[in-house]
Amino acid sequence: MIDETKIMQYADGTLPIEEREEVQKAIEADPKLKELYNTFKETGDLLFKLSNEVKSKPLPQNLQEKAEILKSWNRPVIKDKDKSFNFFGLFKFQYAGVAAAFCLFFVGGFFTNTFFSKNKTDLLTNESPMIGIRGNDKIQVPEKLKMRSLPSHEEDLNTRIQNIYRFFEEKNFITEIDSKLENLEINEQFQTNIEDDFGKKIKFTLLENLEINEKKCKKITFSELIKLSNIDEGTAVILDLCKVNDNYELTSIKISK
Amino acid sequence: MKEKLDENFIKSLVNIALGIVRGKSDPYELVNGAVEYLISNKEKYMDHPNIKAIAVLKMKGLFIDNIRKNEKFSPMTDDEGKTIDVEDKKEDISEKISLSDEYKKVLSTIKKMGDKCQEILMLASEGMSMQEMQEVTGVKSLGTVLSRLSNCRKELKGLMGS
Repeated sequence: MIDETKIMQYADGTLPIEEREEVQKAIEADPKLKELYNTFKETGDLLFKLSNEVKSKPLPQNLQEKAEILKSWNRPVIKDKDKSFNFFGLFKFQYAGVAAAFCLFFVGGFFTNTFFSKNKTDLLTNESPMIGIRGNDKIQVPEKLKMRSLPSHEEDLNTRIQNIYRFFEEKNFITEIDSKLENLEINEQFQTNIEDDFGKKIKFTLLENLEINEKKCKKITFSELIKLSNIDEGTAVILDLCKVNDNYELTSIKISK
Repeated sequence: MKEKLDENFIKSLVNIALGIVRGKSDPYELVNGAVEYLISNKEKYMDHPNIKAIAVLKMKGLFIDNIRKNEKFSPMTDDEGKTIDVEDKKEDISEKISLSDEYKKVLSTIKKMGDKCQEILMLASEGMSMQEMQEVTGVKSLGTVLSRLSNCRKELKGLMGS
């Protein structure tokens, strides 16, 4: 008998990996558990949105001033390895600003529809799991990376961009792949330690070596389409990383659609 | 993860405060009080691993103080001897910060629930881990936190659906 708190944790993506399969099977086999799972997913989304909305509002002046004081404390941010993973905390709001900054770039991309590099097209024709959704490319159902759903009306650009950051913490991600990037061949896949909500390891593919503003850069892509909202059929995400002061930094993100 | 202290940290406290005050007090006042407390005890809390829990506990304390003060002076009467309902005079904060109708609906539904549910749902919405929620709520076991959250979410779904 599956405890309903396990269903809740499963819906939130907080259930330990080793228990997920058992719970998933139980949900698939029992309509009542499926209903319960839907209840938890729905309320999880509601609570998540609740928090999001408050964060979108400006603070009164006196609290803004206090925020500045707290910021000046310069606390070291240390990962607490013993703390259990919690979905609601997954989305890092500190990235919202970065995401917003990316928006201008993305909007240009939407209109010009020039996200895919030549190499990307090659990937598509080589029966890669990355299936193009541009122009006349045939849309197939790819094996998607799974993530938490959002209501359809949140299928706006800003939300989708922000949701990319659900797949990784930028700093950790860069640290992890920095050493791997140098030795990669074009179209070579590499695995990272980051996982989607179902514990699947996320892979990336090197698309291109290039120079941007005299900086050595790498164009990489998620090796599979990723789901950025509930109604997203799969989005191709390409990242540009450029070397600044001997370390790679994320300089742009391009998303298809 | 140590909480990053910035605007979003304070906005998280506002969200939790909205659940604590239930329209009976100004959440900004609670947040302001809690943050002032942190700032004035910088040496003690600067490196605290769970500073949000400290702030939330402080907000709860401040809220209880406010209620006590109100009870101390109420019922108030006007010149004609009619009772003045102090609570009704409070401004609805959800109007003040122009939240969406959907937010108001969820929040008003949560307000209909018991104190324990209101608290744990707002804490959960802020991404607190079970351990953090246990610390803030004072519940003895993690299992109780889990089952309380699970029951409250089922109740929320039921109320939202009805």
